[in-house]
Amino acid sequence: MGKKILLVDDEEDFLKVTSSRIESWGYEVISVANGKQALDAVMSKNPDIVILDYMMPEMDGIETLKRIRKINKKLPVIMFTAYPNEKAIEGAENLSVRAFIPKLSMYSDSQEALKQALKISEGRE
Amino acid sequence: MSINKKLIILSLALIVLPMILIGTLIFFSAKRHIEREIMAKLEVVADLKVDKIETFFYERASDVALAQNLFVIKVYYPIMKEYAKDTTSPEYITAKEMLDEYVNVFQKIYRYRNIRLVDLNKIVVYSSNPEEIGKTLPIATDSAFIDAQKGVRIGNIYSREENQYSMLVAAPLHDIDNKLVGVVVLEIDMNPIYKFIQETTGLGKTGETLIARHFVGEEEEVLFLNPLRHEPKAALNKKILFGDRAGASIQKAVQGKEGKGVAVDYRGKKTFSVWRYIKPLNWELVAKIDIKEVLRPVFTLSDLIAGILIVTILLDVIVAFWAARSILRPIKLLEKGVGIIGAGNLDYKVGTKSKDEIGQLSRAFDKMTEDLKKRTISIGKLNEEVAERRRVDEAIKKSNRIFNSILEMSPFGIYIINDKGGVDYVNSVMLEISGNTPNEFKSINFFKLPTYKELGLYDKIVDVFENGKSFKMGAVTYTSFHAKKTTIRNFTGIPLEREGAKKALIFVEDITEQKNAEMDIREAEQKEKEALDMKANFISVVSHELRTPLTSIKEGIALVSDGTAGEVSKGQKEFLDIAKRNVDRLARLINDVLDYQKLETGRMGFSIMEENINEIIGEVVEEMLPAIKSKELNIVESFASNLPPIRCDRDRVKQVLINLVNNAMKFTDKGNITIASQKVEGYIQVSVSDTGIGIKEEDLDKLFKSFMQLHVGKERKTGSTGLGLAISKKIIEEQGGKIGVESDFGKGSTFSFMLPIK
Repeated sequence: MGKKILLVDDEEDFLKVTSSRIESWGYEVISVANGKQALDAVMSKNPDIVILDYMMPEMDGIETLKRIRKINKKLPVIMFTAYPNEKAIEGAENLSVRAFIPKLSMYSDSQEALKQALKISEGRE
Repeated sequence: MSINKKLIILSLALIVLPMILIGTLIFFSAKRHIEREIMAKLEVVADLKVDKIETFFYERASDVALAQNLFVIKVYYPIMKEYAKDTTSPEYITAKEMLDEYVNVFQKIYRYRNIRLVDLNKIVVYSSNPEEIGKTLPIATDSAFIDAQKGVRIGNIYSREENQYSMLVAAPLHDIDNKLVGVVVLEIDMNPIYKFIQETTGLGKTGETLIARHFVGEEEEVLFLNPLRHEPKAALNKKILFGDRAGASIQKAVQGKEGKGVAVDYRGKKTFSVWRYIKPLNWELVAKIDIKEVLRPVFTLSDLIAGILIVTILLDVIVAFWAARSILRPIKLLEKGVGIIGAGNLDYKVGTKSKDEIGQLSRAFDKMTEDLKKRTISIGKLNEEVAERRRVDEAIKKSNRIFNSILEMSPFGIYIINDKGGVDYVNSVMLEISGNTPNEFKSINFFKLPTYKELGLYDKIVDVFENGKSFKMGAVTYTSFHAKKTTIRNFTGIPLEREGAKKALIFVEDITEQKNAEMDIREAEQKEKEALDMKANFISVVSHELRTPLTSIKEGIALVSDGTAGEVSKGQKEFLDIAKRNVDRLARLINDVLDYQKLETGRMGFSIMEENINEIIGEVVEEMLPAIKSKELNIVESFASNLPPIRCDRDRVKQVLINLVNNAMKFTDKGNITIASQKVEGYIQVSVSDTGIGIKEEDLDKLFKSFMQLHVGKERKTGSTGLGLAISKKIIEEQGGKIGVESDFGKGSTFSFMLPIK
């Protein structure tokens, strides 16, 4: 059984495509549409890694991450964003984000980032 | 010029000029009138005489024609001729007696001087004068005789003897066998005709009528045919060379002309003439009278006027002299008085009693002398006045000191220029502005300063001095003369009068810093504008560049999705649909960005036409009905009827409406979407109301800003670009309208726009 990945994004089409792509790499994907559902999934589904959208309505990526960290301090989190900027990275600095991936290079860069992130978390365990 | 001369010239101008004018007018009109009258008279005389002469000679020609056909003559003339050598034969005597008797009868028609029957050899066969019988015709060369063998002829006048003139009328004579046997010749005594022609009734002392004939001998000449009034022996003697100045009128008549006018006559005198041509006789007739005689009354009149004029001028001069003297005498008296008083005699009185203006003047003068006397007496009073004046001067000086200290404390630079261009005063602020030392500043002559001339300040300052006109000159960049300090200044100049002299008070305000700051702001604004332009340009270029690949992507997806590129499984189709949806969204976004950019920079073209708003709404509803139905929403239309047309861009208004209806649909899960139109004070209002989630009050004013999507839960999934309302707002405003929103959070929203009716 492959590793479980929690994918959080508010856009339906994006979730559908991205989860299919990640599944094709041999991972199991849990797709959720907002931060609240993400927190639920972190607690109930016990994912190995979280891929989190930085910009979401209501509870944004940073807020969601802060809450995740309250539940699980070590869970690897990769954040992606449509507009990568310093402010976003700064906000996430103390929250142990493994990688920042721009949305446009999602499919080429995230596979490597996922492998790296998982390796580190395995090494720790 | 003395008063004498002035008066004379003036009165002459007033009296003599009109007289000359009127005299001239009377003279010429009288002259013209008389001329016209005499001409008419001459014409009547001439025509009458011509008529009479013609009639006379016509009758004589008839006479000769009668004679030629008399049977008695036809019978007895040949007998007389045959028995001419035997005058005592009974045949000859009988024939002669017969003819004598007949000729006597004939003579009763007209008294001919002679009646002759002449044979072809010019021998007189019969004559009423028996002495002539058997002799050769006395005037054998007469053309009338020679021509008369062919028909009736009238000959020329000839002198029979001294002062006796005759004319012959002749006709051919045939015997009973109609054979030409001789000529009948009637001799007319010219004296009665001359008498008639020379008749001078109504022609005054110099007028006359004369006849003449064109005569070509060695030279072309005009021959006078009758004794002239001024030359009784002229008949057949006096000739005028053709082309001579004299006898101009007769020469004209000779040429077969009729006319009238002023002409020189045979004596070389100017005459009023009328000339006629008597064709049957080849005679010319002239009726004329001397101009001098005709116009004598007129000249008499003009002489009279001239006489009156001379008398008037003389009288005028005398009166003018008298008037001048009566004015001058008192003046001379006054002059004398002035001399005496001027020499110090204040008791002298001119004392003219005349009641005219000069009298008044001399009395006023006397009064003045009296006043002067009083004034002289009150010299002590004058000293007092001087003291008073001094006190006033003190006060002025004091006020000047106050004035100067005010100038010194002023926040403006101030200096006073005197009427020579020099500096009377300069305050310390001014020295600071210019950077000059007080001595440097005071050494400047502002009338000679080149920079003042270049900047036009010199002209303004001159204007202050000459016309007392103030001036203002703003923002002058000025470099001071000595210190070479450049500042931007406002100049104000006002006229000033101090101690009786004209000055110019100049205020200078240093606005250098203010101006520089303004310049900085302007530069910053310019840079900002350039940056905005660049950004706008960049966005527009990038968006256009994006469209091309996007179109390829869209078409590529479509080709795979519709099976053109091979069969597609259900799972594949699902991903293709996602791709298609998102490509469409991207295309919409690019279009919106471009629209927004165009509206923002004013490059959006509007095609404004007269439109019916309800028709536009109808079209939008029809277009969107399937989408509304698929969401199971009700559409409610509430149109006001009889709305006036509005001027707008139909497509753009539709774009706004579609956007509003789309928004309403997106945020409404159940209930109604209501579209209404109505007239509101010069506008037509269209509103789109929904029963959707509504908008919080604090968010209402953010709605129409660009990329302002309210983060309210699932609304992110609407696929909108966040530019729709911003674009709508701009479209409506560009057409002179307004757009707005009202909302009850949780219950629904109403978006409405208004467009002006005209």
